Amino acid sequence: MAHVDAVVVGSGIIGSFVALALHERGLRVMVVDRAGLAPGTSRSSDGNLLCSDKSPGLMLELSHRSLQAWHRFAERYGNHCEFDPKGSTVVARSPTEAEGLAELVRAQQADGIDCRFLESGWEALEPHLGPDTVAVGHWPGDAQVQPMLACYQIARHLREAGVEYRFYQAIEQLEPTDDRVVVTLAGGETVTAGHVCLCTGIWTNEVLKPLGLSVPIEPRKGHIAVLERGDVAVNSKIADFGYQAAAESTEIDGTAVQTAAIIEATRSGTILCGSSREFAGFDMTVNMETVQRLLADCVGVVPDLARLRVIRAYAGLRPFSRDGLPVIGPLPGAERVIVATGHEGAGHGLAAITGEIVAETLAEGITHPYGGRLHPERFL
Amino acid sequence: MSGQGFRPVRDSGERIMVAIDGVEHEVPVGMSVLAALLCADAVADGRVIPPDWFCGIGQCQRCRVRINGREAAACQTPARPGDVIETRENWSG
Amino acid sequence: MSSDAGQPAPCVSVIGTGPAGEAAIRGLLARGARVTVFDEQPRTGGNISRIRATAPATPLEALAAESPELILRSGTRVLSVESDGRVWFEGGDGAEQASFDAIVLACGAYDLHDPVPGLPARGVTSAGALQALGKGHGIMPRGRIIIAGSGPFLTVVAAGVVRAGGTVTHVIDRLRRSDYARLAPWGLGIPGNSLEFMQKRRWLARAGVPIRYGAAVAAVGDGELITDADERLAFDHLGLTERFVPQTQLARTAGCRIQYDPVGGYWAVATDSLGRSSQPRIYVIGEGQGIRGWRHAQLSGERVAPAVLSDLAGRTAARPTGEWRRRFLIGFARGLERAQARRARQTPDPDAVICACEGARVRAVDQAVALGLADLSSIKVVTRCGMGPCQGRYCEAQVSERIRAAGLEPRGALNQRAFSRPLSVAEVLNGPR
Repeated sequence: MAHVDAVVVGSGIIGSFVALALHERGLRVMVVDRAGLAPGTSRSSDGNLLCSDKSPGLMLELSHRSLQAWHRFAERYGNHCEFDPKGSTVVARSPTEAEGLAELVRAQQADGIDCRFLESGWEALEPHLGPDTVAVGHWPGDAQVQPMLACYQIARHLREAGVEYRFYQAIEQLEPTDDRVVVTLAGGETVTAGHVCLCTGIWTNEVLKPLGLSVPIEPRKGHIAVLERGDVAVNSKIADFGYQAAAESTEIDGTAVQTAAIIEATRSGTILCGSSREFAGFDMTVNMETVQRLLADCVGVVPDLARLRVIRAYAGLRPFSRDGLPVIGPLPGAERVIVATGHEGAGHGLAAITGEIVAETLAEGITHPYGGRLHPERFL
Repeated sequence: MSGQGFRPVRDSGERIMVAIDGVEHEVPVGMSVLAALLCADAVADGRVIPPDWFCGIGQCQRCRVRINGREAAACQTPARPGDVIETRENWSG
Repeated sequence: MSSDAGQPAPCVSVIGTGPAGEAAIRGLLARGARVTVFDEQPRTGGNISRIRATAPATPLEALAAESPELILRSGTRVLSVESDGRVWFEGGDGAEQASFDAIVLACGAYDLHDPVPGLPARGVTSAGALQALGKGHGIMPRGRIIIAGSGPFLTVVAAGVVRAGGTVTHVIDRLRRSDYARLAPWGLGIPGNSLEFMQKRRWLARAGVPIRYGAAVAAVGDGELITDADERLAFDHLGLTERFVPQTQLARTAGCRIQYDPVGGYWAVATDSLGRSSQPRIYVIGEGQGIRGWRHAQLSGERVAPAVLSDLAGRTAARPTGEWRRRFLIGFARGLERAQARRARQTPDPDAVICACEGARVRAVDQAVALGLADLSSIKVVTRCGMGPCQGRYCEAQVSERIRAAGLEPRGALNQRAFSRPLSVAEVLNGPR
């Protein structure tokens, strides 16, 4: 029977950074995934590493720290994941929005975030903003990444370093004891581990169900439409002013579909258009009406997008936590099971810091960082 | 580019006029837009750069052009009198 | 025409008007259904009976003109099909939708080649493209034409090209004479096809077109083909086809189960012998079930019509006709596929492009497979194979081959992420809200 210090369940962006951080601290790690590489939320995401969509507070602090950790990652391991600190731009299209945006910039500046408010001269940053643009906020330090390539880069690095990956292996059974966890994989293999790290996003409760445990995570559906490469330059991540409110909203309304514009050009030249937010269970089918709505939002901000072609549209499920903060830490009732989920739409941005937090828990015994505000016991 | 270009087959002799990238061209009746682009006299002197193409049946999507303002696969669209055809090199390939 | 008393006639959509689609359309009409037909080509008939835009009306087009029960929408791209019976298609001003009681997908097949160093290149197309050029587009390449790849299709294309006045300098066929000899007894069961094939071969010989059996394309240079015997043959146009694969994109948008066929080396829609897919309202006939030829396609269209209508009425279908014939035709097609698989090149050059849209190379796919990845979607997201305008139509089968070469079983075909074909944002926005 194989023995490792930690089995990391999930090869998405969170599992990848958790496995990497544990490996960096000398722990023996095995990564297990029910399907191929990062088959869940990471695969249906754009790669936002943003401060611009956060109000001052813990999420902003985590995002800022995580961005710094992303920079350290790219310096140490090379940049094979299109990590690009291209900045982000938030567009206000009415005097009211401009006021709100100016206020956000002031508050973030007070927290030490590099950002500025422009009432003119944004054409140099983003030449294709619509004529109704009143003001923009610019965050030069914000970044984007190609999430799948980040997972791939980490997987290839860890594999070369001897870390085993088990793809297409769901967790059949978890048996936590006082000093270890016995993990049975669907293929029949049994592994004992000092800890199990569940980086399983919205599917965390599926894994926990046989243990009679759960975390308050809901799938929050989102859509992305992919536009073919064309002649419309999108230099930074562009969002409309409403995007922040949508991303931070924590109200669960059974039927409402919120949309807000967020636009990014990828390295290959395609343009990703988001976003939508709704609670629709685990349904991942694409709703054409929602795609139309979010495209209309994006065209509102960058009218020239209308002449490009849509080549794909897809939906994904964000792991939404009830209080808008991630859920990271040992699970009450099964302390050797560490969960790391609940990042909603900020998983890529927060992945690097999440890896650090989990690694500090396992390697250094720091169980309640950030005043325990991320710990799963806060929901008890 | 290799090759010696293309020639019409079973040409009835009837002609229609289409505009390719702003220049009027005479093409045989009954051709696809792809065929019109591949056959245009201006291909030889480089004024018309025909789209990359592979399948001729609408699968590979390499030959997309703008026809009367609407994008379409050139291979799936019959050329009609007065068509305004725009090739775009920066479209996919 | 009338259906069961008091019941409105069922509304069925048929997508594709090749031999399978046309047989289904006629069968459905004869049984009292109202049929709406979509075909992305300007004229009906599919790839096998492609005609010029100005040709006289086909029998199906003539039928549509006089029959109120048949609505024919040629030149209309279907964007996606949904399991609830909705069809999204490109209307005059953008994306439109229509709802049906059942949908029959008869989308045919297309031909492709294996990864070859030097490709993609201008002047190199599929062999099927040459056939389409002559029959449908009304042009032919000037200069020397080489037709290469694998199988009897090459002979058919070469004959068509010569008939249209093209100059075929070589036909290069991976299959050996012995492969054809082995298939010959089966061919007696399809005398029409066999006779036509032999006539075309003789006719090519008389026209002085050399057919080289047991030879393969190893690489393509500038206007020159290099065979596996290191022979260099100059061409002005090269038509290259190794095999056919089913067109399954719309079945995927509807969520129909797709399965890998290790003999054909492609993904086909899983159906029962009448064309029922895993989605209750969606039927898949013809080549979508696997590459089996036009006679099988036609037969599958004849067989699906009664099944659709009895399913909709909640009746048990009558015993289908042509079961023996169906099995024979599949057996013959299988024999050819086995011969082609036996002669296929096992190890492509690692530098050869495997996804022409994105320029991804064989090596990149092999690296992903070495990590243990065996599903098409995982490999797509890390290598870009399948992300380009063709949406994986031309690389999925090749990537699957690389997975098999590593001793793994391909898992999970590419998921089709809405928009079976690209559409401009403005057109999407103009669609129904």
